[in-house]
Amino acid sequence: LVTARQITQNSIPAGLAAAMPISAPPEPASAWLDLLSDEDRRLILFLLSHSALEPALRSPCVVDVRLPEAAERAAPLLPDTISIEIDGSQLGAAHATLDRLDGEQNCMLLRNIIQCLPDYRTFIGHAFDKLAIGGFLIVTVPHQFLYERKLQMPSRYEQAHLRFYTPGTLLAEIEEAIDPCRYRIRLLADHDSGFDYGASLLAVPAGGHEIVLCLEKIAPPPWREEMEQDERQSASYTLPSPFLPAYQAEAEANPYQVIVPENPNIERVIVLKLDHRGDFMMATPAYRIIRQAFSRASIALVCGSWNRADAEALGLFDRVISFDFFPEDASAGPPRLSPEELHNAFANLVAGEQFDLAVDLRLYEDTRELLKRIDAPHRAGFDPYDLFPFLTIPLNLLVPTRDGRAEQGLMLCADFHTQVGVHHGFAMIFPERTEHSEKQFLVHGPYTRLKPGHYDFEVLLEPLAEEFELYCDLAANAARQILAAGVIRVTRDRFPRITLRSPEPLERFEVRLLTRAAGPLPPFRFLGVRYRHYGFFVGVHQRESMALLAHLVALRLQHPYTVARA
Amino acid sequence: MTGQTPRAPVVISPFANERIREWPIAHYRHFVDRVRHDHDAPVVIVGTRPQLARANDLVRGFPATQVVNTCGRLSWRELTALVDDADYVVANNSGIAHLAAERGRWTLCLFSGSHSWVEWMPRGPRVIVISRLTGCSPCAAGGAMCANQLACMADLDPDTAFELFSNARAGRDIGSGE
Repeated sequence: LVTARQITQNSIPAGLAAAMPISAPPEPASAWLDLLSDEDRRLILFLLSHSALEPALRSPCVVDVRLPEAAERAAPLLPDTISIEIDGSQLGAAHATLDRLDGEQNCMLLRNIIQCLPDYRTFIGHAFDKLAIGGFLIVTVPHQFLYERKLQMPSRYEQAHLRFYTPGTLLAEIEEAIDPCRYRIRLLADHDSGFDYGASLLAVPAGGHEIVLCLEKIAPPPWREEMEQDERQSASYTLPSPFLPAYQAEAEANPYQVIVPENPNIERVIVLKLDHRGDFMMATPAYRIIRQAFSRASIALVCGSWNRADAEALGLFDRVISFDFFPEDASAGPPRLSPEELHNAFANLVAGEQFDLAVDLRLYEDTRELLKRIDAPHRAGFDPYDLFPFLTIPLNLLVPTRDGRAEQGLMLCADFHTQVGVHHGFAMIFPERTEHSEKQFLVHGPYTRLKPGHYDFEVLLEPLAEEFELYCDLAANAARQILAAGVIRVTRDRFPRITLRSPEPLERFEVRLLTRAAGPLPPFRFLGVRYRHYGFFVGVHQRESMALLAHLVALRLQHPYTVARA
Repeated sequence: MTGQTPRAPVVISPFANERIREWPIAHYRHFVDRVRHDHDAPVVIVGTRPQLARANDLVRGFPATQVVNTCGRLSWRELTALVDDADYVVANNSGIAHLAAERGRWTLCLFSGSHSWVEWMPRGPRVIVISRLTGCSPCAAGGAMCANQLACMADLDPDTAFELFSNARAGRDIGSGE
């Protein structure tokens, strides 16, 4: 195994050292070159041929890190050299050797070594750490397509080689090992001087066959720390808002919420379907879904006594329980018992029983409280308005009849504003025949929120003398959005009507009345705006709603979970 | 890890389509450290080619033999195979969390307060989701805005997350029910 065997300052003959002054670009001294192997001589001549490497090679002392086999074959690459021999894969020893250097090295040469290191990343990083700012790291590795000439590992020549290199893969390892803001690349080149491209694949490559990479270490730029946060998507959260309290200060008060898997075994199920015959029948697909999802469970159905026979005939339930929450004939009068009495009666009915799952299939909310009386970890039901926090599986579907209902009402004149007329009881009076300028505001308001949909508005205007015309518009969002505009006629026989269709909710909706032209305005009174919001018919059928709830229960309990605070 | 049966890797996907859903890289670094020391498992970082440089920030300084950066190198099929081989998978609210959950792997999802976990958490038999209940959550801020310096993720401590995950995975008590 590899050990760091030696750190030696090579003894350089005085005359030779003088021939390679460190104050000038090194020039190949023929006497020194004679000591080098052919391979090393080609490499040093290649390095010296690149002016980008000149500052590196001019360094007072180069740390030449290489494999011991290489050290045995030849002298160090440059005369003024600290030679470090790192052997194979004993990385701890290699790092210990590097540790003996101070962090002010001018130039380090990692010569054909990292291909033998399993952990190239920390070794390269460690070597880089030993450089002074302005120092150079020169890395050479065998070239996959000059040395190996092979598409895939293993190496033709060296079992110890763990990876093949191209300039791209070498650079990728460098970027992993060293922050790219800490260096600049001065050279990345294929060294193929003297390479015989005509030789066969079986011949040992002759000539240069390496990749040479030279980095210069630079001081970290002042923006390096900010860079992490300075990406487009994160820029805003690095700057606290001066207008909002900082939640960070409340970190201790913010508990951890942990959602963890739970036992998926569902063995006892209770289903509530307490309403009338038609409701019961519409739930049949939901019953089948529940039966299929929990095929091995014991399923109890609670239904009105009038549905009991049909429930048993379905053959889907292991037990049918009668409970008359509603009267069989709702038209015959209200229930005999109060909701509280019904809840208590139901609690007695299920007392002492434990279930894994309870489902209420009624879309409307009146039976939901019954689920609270059932001892079950999972409770499922419809909850469109978030009214039942005890449900572990709520489904918040729209209720088409209720949520799509038509509405009509009056925007009272008291909610409108005027600088010209006078509020008088339920009306706004414009009594005088006064002069006005063109497009002068008479009435505006009520600045309310409108749901999306189709509206008819009737502007309740009554002339107190002759009939006349006004200008009217509908606007929203502080009049940034004009929705409709035109001339309306103030007559005795009918109120002016305006239709509006808005696909989106409107904020600060207003109706504005203005004079049409300059001149005297006849007296009139304004009573407000009557509106009709047409109903809409969207959503899902009861039968589909219940089937969706059953599917939701099945899907949720395929991988049940519980929520804990830590 | 040498001379023994190799341990199944821990796959970490530290990215998401929105930065607001990402646990800070510094937290992931700390978490990787805990994995190395407490679970003695190799760690594989996964992501796309554009996420490579940020993943390099994460792996830098960790031994290449123990923490591998595969960003941009795996096809979806290879990634799926890697997830199938993983001891467990750690991810933000992102596609890899859903993949791991779907494949039945132990999954730790560090869930940002920007979204409701009820709607978006990964679902599967071995999923553990951890989030910080900040008063501003869920904010639906989506791609950019957080006025609170991403407190829901910044305050989600890596040691606590590691302990909660380890305990929950082992079936140990982790706290009170809601």
